[in-house]
Amino acid sequence: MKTIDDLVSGELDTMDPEWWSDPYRHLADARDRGWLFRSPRGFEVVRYQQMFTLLRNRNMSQEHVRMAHRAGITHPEVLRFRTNFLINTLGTDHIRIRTSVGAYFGHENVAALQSAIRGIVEDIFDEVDDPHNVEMVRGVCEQIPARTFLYMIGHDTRDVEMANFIAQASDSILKIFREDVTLKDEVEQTYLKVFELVQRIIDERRASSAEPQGDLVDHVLSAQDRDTITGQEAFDLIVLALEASVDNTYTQMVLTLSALLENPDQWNQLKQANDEALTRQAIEEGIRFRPRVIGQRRTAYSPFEFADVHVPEGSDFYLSVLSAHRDPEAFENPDVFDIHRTMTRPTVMFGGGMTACMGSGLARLEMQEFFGVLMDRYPNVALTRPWSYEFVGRTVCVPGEMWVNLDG
Amino acid sequence: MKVVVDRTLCISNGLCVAIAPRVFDLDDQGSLVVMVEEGVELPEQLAEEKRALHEAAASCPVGAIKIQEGDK
Repeated sequence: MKTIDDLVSGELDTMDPEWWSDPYRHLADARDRGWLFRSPRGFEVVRYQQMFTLLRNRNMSQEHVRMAHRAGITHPEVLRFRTNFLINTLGTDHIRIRTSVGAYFGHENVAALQSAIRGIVEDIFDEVDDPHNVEMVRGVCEQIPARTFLYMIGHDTRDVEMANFIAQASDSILKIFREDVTLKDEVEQTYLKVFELVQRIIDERRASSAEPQGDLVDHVLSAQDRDTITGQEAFDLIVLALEASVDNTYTQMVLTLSALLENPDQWNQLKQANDEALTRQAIEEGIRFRPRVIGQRRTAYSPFEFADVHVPEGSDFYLSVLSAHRDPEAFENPDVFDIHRTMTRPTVMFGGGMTACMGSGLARLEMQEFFGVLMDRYPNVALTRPWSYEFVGRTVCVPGEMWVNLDG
Repeated sequence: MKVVVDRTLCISNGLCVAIAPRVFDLDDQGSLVVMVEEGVELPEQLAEEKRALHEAAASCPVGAIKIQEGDK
């Protein structure tokens, strides 16, 4: 039987900085030649259809232990977390842990959080000192998921100091994805502070005689009380919720806003309609057009057959979100940002299959409320300085400062 | 009670399979398989699955599972 190597159409030199000066052109060239390439990241998948299928393959998983080693992590508590947390857990254990918080992150519960999230966004805009000169990334967008996390743990969402800590902690922890050993101390020290915070949250909730509030902490501790998950798994789930819910959400918010402001006709159509369904469509188009997560790494933890070839255990894949979202076989006129686009295929930035991001619904709701408030209060918002973004660590898109005049 | 899945939303994360395994499954490629006829009244022998179906629909992160009651 043929092996996966027989399907490779060539090499992609993704370590070359020049490659990243215009990745869309290089990826379009690659898609014309085939769907599978070799790159320093392993097998690189550039077409939507194969990526869509591989994301759902139950023999594939994310592999975080080697990533932690590549990032230079040595602290035993941090290594324990990165080894045992949900994303690195396989099979029935993965489903068991995920199901324990499925109801919290499910679309029904998330929909019920809408007014709370709207209130958080209104508060943040109320606190803006000078609407004519606002840095959106740190001044507004970053605060939304940070305060949403406070809401998830039953903490005062107006505690700015705590919100800033959550935002900074998420930012520092996720630097592990850059696999840069010079950032090891920042990652490890932040993890230790977060562990301390999460333990305090759990201890306080256990000691409280108040009625359950139905927040994330209640869901997690109730699952522990039912013996669905262990105390360690409950702890790890709250740490994961913190690290995963902030950076990617606010960054996608900024990236989608940038696409709207760079295409004023689209922003005008959106605000004139001021319609939730169209806003949701625009958010999905922003995710497709300018995704925060530009690639998904997966490893075959057991061998399997795919496209009539054998994929050996341990095969590393890099599934290019950047490429899949611009694949004309999946999205018509993919290089055009069009909020009216009807998605006939789901976007893949939040992953797919067993390890798909469980907070994607909440992230989308936060974006929806952000754009809702922006359209209501500041329909004339405009960029006041040039804005740019860069691809970092070949896995994420990082926006630069975004200065705007909210009143145009 | 009827069940319908919007395939353009489904991300195959398998929560519904864990919650209502008599109704949902994933095939070898990880694609969702609905083991009842969609949009048709649930068979009598699966009547006790109704609670699980509601839980599966509520837990779906993308809201891909729709439950229709009565004649709706």
